[in-house]
Amino acid sequence: MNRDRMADDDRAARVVERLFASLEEGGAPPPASEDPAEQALLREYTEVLGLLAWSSRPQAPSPAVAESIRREIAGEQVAERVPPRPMRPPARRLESPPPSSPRWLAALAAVLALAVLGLSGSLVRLAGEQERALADLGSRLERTTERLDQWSGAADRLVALEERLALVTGPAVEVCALRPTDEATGRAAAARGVLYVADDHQRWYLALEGLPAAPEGAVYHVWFLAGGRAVSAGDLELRAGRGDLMAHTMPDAVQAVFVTVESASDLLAPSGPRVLYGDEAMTIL
Amino acid sequence: MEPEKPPVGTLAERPDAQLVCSVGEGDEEALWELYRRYSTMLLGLARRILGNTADAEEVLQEVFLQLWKQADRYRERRSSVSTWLGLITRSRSIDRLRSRKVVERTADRAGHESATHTSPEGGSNVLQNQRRELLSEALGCLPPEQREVVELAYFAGWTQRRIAEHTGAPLGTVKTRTLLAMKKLRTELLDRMEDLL
Repeated sequence: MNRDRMADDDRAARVVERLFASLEEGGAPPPASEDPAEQALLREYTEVLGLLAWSSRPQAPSPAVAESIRREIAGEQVAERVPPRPMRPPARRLESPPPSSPRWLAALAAVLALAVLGLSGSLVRLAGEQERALADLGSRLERTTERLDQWSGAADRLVALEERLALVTGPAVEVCALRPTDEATGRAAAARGVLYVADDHQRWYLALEGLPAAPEGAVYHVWFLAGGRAVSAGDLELRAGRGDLMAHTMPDAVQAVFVTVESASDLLAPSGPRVLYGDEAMTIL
Repeated sequence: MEPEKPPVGTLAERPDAQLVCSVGEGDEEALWELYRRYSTMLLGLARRILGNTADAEEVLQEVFLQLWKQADRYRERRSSVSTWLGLITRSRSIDRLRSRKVVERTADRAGHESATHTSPEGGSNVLQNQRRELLSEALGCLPPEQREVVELAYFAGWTQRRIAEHTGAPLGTVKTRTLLAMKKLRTELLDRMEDLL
């Protein structure tokens, strides 16, 4: 791969990262980049993402929607045209206080000074209390957020497990055993796996065990054989010899499933040795 | 807002960005032209995310009111109008989904949707169907695991971390799948981009 190609790949990776970060933050198009080439690419990827909206089935809104918008706009314009409220008559000036003696003035000044001092003290105390309360609330919020993150992660894991369980135990689930091929060597020759396909023929779950760690720089990759063509189904991550993969879409007319050892992740067709293969599906009622 | 260009042609002939500019100046007819162009697509998107037409129509109303009040927030340099409106619709739909404002309307869903689920008429219908077919083809070219990450992020509003938790794939793998998917979609759609937007 030459240097230009690598720079293009880096730029694309940065742009897609930014795009999906902005999607997670609220969905507005990301701010423009100062690098013109990167900005052009960012705009292209933003449009590609935006086009996904068109993959939904279009639906004509009911006339009530336009009517509501019209009413809201009209209401806003009416509100803008509402004449300003009449000005209140000027407040009557307070009558001048009766002439007072210098002693009275000194007493008043002393009282006012004390009141200001007292008020300042109270304000300082209140500000201190408010600061402590804010610090306390801040740390409680931080702890709560941490716990929520942990619970959210656990809840997501639980949902994923429940989903796998529901699929495996679902009605009319199809099961296909994967067995080692002649190309499997060493410990891989003792590996095995099972593919579960839900009755909608879209959701599937693959569980494998007994596989040794993939060679350095390589990964196990799952493929479907559909219509005589191998369709990538994803990389497989192993933990202690076990690995599983689940997805909600599946190609039509799947004839077989197999696992290869691949050294690149962006493959259009399998190129490495095939270690597991299965093509006999059984329906469990 | 980008520098203004003087409006040319009839309302139906004017480009989207000019219409948004006119909306910003209080031109209600320009707003209705944009509504005519995009309301069916945006309602389809909101309905797909929210799962029911009643909530989707409320979102659609919010989107066009936002366009009416904040047209000056549109930046032509950053995206086309259709993409901008699509992203607003997606964002509002997902906010609504998350805030659990969506009440179960299962009972009236079927009846209501069969009554209102109609396609747009005339040329717009043909164009929208062509766009949809092209998009479906492009998405169909993606391996299932790549398509899944893009669809979960865009239509379900999931973070990549949540997708990783859900699919059991490491976060790095999810990011790689996303990048590969976007690269493939770009390759598939780039030549047709001008026709699609």
